[in-house]
Amino acid sequence: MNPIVLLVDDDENVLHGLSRVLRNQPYHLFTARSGDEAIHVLKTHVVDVIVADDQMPGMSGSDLLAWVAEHCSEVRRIVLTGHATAATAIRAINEGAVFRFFTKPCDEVELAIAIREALEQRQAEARAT
Amino acid sequence: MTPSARILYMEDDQALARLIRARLGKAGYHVDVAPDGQRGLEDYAAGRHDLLLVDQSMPGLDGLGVVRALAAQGELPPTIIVTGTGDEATAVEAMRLGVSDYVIKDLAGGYLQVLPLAIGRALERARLREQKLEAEKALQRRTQQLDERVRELDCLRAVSRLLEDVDTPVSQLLDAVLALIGPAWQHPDVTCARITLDDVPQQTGNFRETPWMLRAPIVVDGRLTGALDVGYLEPRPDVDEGPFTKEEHLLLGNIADHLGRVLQRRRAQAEIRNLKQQIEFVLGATKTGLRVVDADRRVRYVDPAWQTVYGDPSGKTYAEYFGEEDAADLESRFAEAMATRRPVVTTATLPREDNRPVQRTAIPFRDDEGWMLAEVVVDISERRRMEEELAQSQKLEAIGQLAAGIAHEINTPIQYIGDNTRFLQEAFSDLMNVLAGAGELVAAARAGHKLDRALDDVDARRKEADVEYLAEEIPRAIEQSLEGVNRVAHIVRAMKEFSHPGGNQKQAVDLNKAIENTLTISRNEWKYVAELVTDFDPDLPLVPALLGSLNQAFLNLVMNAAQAIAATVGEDGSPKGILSVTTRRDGDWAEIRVRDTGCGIPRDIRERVFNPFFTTKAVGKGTGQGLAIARSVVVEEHGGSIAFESEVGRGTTFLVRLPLAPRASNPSKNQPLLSATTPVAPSSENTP
Ligand SMILES: Nc1ncnc2c1ncn2[C@@H]1O[C@H](COP(=O)(O)OP(=O)(O)O)[C@@H](O)[C@H]1O
Ligand SMILES: [Mg+2]
Repeated sequence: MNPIVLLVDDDENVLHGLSRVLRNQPYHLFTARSGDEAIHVLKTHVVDVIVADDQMPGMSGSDLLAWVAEHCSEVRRIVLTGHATAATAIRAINEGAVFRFFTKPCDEVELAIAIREALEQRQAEARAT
Repeated sequence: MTPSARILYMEDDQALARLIRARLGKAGYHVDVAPDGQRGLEDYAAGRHDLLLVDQSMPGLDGLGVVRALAAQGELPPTIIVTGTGDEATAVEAMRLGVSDYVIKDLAGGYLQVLPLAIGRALERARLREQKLEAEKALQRRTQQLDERVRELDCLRAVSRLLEDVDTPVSQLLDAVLALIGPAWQHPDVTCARITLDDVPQQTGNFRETPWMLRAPIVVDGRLTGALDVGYLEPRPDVDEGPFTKEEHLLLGNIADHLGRVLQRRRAQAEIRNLKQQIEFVLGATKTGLRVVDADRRVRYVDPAWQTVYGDPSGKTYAEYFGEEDAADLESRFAEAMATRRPVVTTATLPREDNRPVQRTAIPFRDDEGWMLAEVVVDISERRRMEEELAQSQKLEAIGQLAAGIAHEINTPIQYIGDNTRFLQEAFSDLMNVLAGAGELVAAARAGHKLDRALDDVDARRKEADVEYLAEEIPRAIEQSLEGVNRVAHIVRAMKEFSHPGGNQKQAVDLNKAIENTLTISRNEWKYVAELVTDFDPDLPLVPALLGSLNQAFLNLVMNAAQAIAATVGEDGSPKGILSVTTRRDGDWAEIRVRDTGCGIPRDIRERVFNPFFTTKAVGKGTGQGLAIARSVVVEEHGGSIAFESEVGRGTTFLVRLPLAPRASNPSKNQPLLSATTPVAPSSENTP
């Protein structure tokens, strides 16, 4: 079964664009447009990697990743934020214990590589247990 | 009749003497008889007699001789000469010497009846003369008193005239007063005087302490400050109070009183002069102008600094003195100050002084001549410059704060534009690959080759490229990219228009557009917490405005609204608030409402939110300058008004009103009146 990668962003166009460039990658892409939607997906599917925007209406990306770190810490977490401030970076790393931190615009190859690495780590961890 | 009169009768005929004595005794007279002239004179010298009855023919000294002797001594007492023989020469001389009567001893002719009558007449005449003398003496006394009164009054008048002269130094003044005192006293040649003030004496050259002194206290401001002493150097006859008259004593008191009052006035004047100098010094040092205008719009006072610029104000009207331009809004200020009896604060520039900006506080006050306007004029160039700098730095700060948001707003479309473009790039090469296969197929067909391989190849390439997917996604990718490009272009344009306001001159501004730009560049600040509702009046006329300043004011209001909403919208997905911005035309005014459903402004800070540096926000979030600058932009730069309504927990609406036509003067603000003449420091405008 293919692993699942969940993309979270409040801007649909970002989700479309990422889906297009990542369409040939060996995983299923799920998308969510808010923290709440993402949590719904996380509860109903076995997600391996989550890539989340930071600033979103309602629950922010930092909050979402903090939730994930607490409730399903096995999911690898990657931040893709519109604008990085020291404060969001520190929060993402400390509370969200994120795997990678990207700012938009980011190179899709770099992002794709990071997702791959995250998946491999995840699989290595899964094998170990 | 004087029945008690005592008569001395000189008569050598003793019998006749007895007879007459008895006779006159009946008439009520006491008669002493002297037997001859010599003895008669001796008796008379004892001084007990009111009338002399003298026989002319006597042995030794005859009657006329007696009269001559008496006349030589002084005034003749009432004297009647009695003679046996009527001798005309004797009668004439007797009369010349002043005898009262000349009676003939004619017993038959009724001599004895005549005599008492003559005596009565003589006594009466003597009495009248006595009375007249007394009256004359009294008159003389009165005249003398009057003389003295006149001298006193002269003295007093001279003293007051002297004391009115405010320019003479005090010591010179005292000398002059001392010089006036001597001539006013009964005995000027022996009069000396001394004035002692605060233990320092000043005196006439001849002054010394003598046993004959008068003294009056000098009281200044209710305090015993000195004394005025007058004395005689030598004894003089006693009158009312020792050698001095009552009047002199009074005069002395009057002069001392007068001196006291004058010294008091001088001290007050000196104090006023001092105060005036101090005030003018302070005015000069603080670059503050002071002018007083009376109800006829005449300049009553201007401080020295202005006098050096504009000259002497005497008699000039405000407009004549300061110029028509400066006087343009004097009437409205005057009217408002008089109507409200409160200081009216306005700002203006002085056309005659390089247009330097000033703040004028017109303070109505009342003095003896009626209501006047005192205007304190403070130079605010420095303040203006600081305000401008502050506004500039606040603007930079706000933009800095926005920069992160704008970066976010731009980076997001750039992200998917980039993704889509790379997708298109791949899709293009995939499609080219398919096309290349198709080309080979065509070439093979043309060459009449077998087509199976080529057909398979095309199929394989199509499959690899996922043509159906591409056919669906490419148009979408292009469309979304264009959308992104538009988004970025929109933001960049808004940014440019927002921060490139163009000059210090007012220009016709499309408020709707300006507000839209402001909302665009600040979008990232509110979009996560609020739904934006705009309702712009499409018929709103262009407004004369300084676009840059106005943008800054709107931005500050929008940022505050966003922050107020953010404070209530939790990050746990509670529903967004509403940020609504409307524009409307209201007569000659454009109205802009910025409404938020945020936290509201607590009652106890409503007075202060417009104060510079007042903030309730954390360091880094708020500087407290947003509303201060918005107020100054709206009120001072545009002659508009800014106010708000707020309900804690429900939200706040800021209402900005801007005049559609340019205004010459800035609207004034009334300040609470502390007292009619106390200038009040202006504070920032308060709102409901
Ligand atoms: N829309 C609003 N809703 C609630 N409070 C407001 C609003 N606008 C201003 N305030 C209050 O007024 C204060 C001053 O505002 P401002 O001058 O813009 O400074 P700052 O925003 O930097 O604090 C704010 O700290 C806040 O307490
Ligand atoms: Mg503010």
